[in-house]
Amino acid sequence: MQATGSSHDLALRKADFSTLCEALDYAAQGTTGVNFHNARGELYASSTYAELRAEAMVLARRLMGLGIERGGRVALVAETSPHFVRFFWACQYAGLVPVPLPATIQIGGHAAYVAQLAQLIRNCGASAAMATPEWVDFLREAVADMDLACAGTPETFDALPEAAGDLPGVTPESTAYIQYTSGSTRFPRGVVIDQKTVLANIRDMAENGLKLHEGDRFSSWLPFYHDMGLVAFIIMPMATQRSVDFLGTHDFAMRPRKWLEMMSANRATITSAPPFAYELAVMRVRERDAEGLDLSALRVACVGAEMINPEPLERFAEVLAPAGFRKSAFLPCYGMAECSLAISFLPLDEELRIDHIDSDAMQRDGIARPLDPAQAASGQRVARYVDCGTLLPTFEIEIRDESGRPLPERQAGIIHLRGPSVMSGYFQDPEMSREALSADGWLNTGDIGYLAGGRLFLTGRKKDMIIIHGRNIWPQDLEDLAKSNPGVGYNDVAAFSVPSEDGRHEEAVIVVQCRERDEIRRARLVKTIIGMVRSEFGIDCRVELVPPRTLPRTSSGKLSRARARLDHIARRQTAAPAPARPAPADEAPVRYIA
Amino acid sequence: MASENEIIETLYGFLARFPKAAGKLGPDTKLADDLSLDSVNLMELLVEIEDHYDIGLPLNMMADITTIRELAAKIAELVEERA
Repeated sequence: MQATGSSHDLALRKADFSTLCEALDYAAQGTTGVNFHNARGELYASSTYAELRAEAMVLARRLMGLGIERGGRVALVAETSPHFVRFFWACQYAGLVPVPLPATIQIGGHAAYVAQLAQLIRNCGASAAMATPEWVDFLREAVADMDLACAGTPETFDALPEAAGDLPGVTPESTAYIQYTSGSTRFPRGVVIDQKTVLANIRDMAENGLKLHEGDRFSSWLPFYHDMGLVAFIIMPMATQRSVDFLGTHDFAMRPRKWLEMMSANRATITSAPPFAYELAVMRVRERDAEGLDLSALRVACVGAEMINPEPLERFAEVLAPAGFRKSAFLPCYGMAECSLAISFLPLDEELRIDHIDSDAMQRDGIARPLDPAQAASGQRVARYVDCGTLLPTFEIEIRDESGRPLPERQAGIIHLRGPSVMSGYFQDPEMSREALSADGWLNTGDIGYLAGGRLFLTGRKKDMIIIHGRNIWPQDLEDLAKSNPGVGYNDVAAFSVPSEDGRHEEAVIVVQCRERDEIRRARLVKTIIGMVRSEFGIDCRVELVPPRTLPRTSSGKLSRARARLDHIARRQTAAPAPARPAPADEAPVRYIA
Repeated sequence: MASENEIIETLYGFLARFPKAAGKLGPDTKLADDLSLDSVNLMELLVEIEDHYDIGLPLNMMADITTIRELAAKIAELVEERA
């Protein structure tokens, strides 16, 4: 088997299509395509876009035969496999909406995963659902009491009869996919993205952020159920007729070096990952390994999805310099599923840049006052933020205060965006959609940042969102798990994240108001909650039991997670004074997360 | 062929690298609840197991494993299948 080539005679078109079907029709005239690598890093499946299109059209006819109404949803357990890609494109030709579902499971997490699948399939009202043989038992269990037109493996679908007649296809206004923004089982939010919307974002990225050219080749291990994995590595390569190499997410997590080897062997030019992935990769690479690798073709290594800590990136660049990796390939970017994917990129070939600002001014007034190196050295409290670059040109931006007034340069506030890449809303959730999107098209991102000299700096993440290892975790989910224990009342829990003791990562904290005095029962409650969180989210959390009426509320009686977080940090510092260290960057924006 | 007990002993060796597992190892120790292994730790453990026994441990298999003994039984089964 041979991987598809990186270049071909077909003229590069940067996603200037009106629908994804039109884009695939064009890509199918060339010889590029998609390539899948197994745990050993060997190529096990490869299709040109021409082959993929032909297969997708056959499958589209089989899906048509199921009699699902136009715009009906097809849930796809999004394991990194050629089947997912084929089903994703088949849905487009069949006029159906693919909905990628997470393919990830925690140790002992069988029941939690099945519940999550069931919740998402119900939320999107899917008419059909597919999972590969490794995952189909979970899917079958999840849909046992649902009435779907078809649920099963790719083989099940491939045995369906093909319907006759024209394929329905799509219009620019048709929904391209629904993207669930978090692993939330309790409060799923399905971002609805139309054909023209995702193509507008890809066009903007291809022309401006990444400046794609004929020789580009993509490489990724990112999960297909994440916006970056789906949009940047399935849809963008197709809509720009480039080849892409995939490695499974789990295979990457076990052997991060395989990602580097795959990029080296195929001379990838573009990849992307959250910062922790670069850290993980460099932890597992020895210096002599670097010599066997050739990363000299890699011109773009996007860094996104969580707050960026520059040190691991610098280490990565240092260790892989002998492999030809250039530090200027790192491309900090900012994006979110609600904007299809990307919002801003650092200009190409610029090196990572850090804004050193006065931490006290930021905490007190939200002002990003720059410090010169001498001041920074003199012990003034410094907050450091990474330059996330310039907005893609189709976006308008406003930084606003809590009451919606626009703020000036170097003043931190809530990032609002408007443009053709913004979602049409959350699936069948008018209330949540109204909260996020104004009538005149402005999206309230909930993220906190400031502008300086045309550059965007991100200082805080989505309102209350807990981000660990690049994954978004809603505090409501953690709180809900804690509340399901007897004796823990509805108003007794607050979840948030704090920097870990070494200041390098975030860790989740759940504060629980507890009336129990018996030490053994208290310890058992803590252990139970930690176990529940681990089996559902695969993360370690810290549980703090506090007396009743400890948790702070706003004047309207709502829980204030931001104040609960500050109180928790204060209690921790009183209990064990922290060793002196520079203020971690993410302590500064605290007041804005209120 | 490695017996289940031998595998359990080998697993203790692998788990010794995690300080949080110290002093807690027994056949019925729960990998997640008792040892607090997070997903990154778990990956490290799976790599050691795969390399040592030359088997593939698919992620979905971990859904129904809670204790060290259950993990050992699964490894024994896979080793036998391979043989």
